[in-house]
Amino acid sequence: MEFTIRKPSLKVFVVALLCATFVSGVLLFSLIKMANTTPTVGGSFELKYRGAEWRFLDHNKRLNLLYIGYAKCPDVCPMSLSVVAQAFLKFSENELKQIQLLFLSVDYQNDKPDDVADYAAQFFKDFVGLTGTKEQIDFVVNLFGASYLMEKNPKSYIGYSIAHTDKIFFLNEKGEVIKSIANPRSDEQIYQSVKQLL
Amino acid sequence: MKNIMFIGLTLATFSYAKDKKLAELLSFQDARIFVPSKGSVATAGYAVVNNKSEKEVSLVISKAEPFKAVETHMTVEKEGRMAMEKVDKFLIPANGSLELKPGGNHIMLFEPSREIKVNEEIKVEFLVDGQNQEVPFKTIPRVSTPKKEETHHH
Ligand SMILES: [Cu+2]
Repeated sequence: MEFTIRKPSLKVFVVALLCATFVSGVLLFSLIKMANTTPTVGGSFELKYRGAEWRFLDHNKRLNLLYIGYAKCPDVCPMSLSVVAQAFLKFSENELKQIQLLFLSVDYQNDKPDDVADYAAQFFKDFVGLTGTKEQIDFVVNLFGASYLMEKNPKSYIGYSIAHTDKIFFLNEKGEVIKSIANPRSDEQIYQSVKQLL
Repeated sequence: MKNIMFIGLTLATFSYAKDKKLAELLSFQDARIFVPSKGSVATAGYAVVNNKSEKEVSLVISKAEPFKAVETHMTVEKEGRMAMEKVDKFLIPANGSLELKPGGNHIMLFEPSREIKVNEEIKVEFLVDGQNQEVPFKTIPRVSTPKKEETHHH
């Protein structure tokens, strides 16, 4: 009895060992693979340009910079847009063909589509100022892990302010985030990042 | 570029020194206002405010022609977002300074009644510990295009 049990159990043991080695190997491999590929943030989206429908995939370039703010913002938005503009002034015609800046205003209640387009374009002629419906805006804001919060500010002349993410997102041609810079304050940093990613 | 900024700074400091009164507790360095942007109603002003006196001094903004309203603001980061709050005054520490800078403390100016151009001097009126002080702020462009500016200055 003991022998008949022992003999097959040895076989089973060897097979089980082989199986375990194989399974753990596969597991380890996929774990390494998972660690190397960060989950993709971003993708295509739809907004409005001067009131008309605007699809990212119809206007994408090799490298797309995205900033989310509002036109009536007097402090961080214009500062971020001007450092990008200052960086863009250093690029060649050929480089400029491959890059663009998209500015999305989340202030769907106060920023008119033409105002946003004109606002963005005065920093740099090819900056694209976008608006959208609340649903479109919220979709984009969530897509890129950004956020905004409208706050009533009765003490202030303007009456409100919008707290928002202060970040430049660098998107590839699919709209996926490949880099981001928080509190962009230096045109050199933007310039170097674009050079590196192009 | 740096030269232009330096010239601008020297001009600003010089024109300030001319108007300086002996009694003034605060001095302003690099006082500048960005030319208002199209599509926006507000613009911001920045400077370094120095207090050479032995006591803390309060700074309250009162007016700046031709803007309809002026306020002192503070941008703070809250839950990953940049939020702007109106503050009644800035406090400048004794023998110290306060830097008004983008993404921090700043003055905010609303709805100018006429077009503001680059290189203007906007007289901003403050109450410094209750005393009037007028400070010239130079208007500067959001984006400086070096070539144009050079021909402008020389
Ligand atoms: Cu402000």
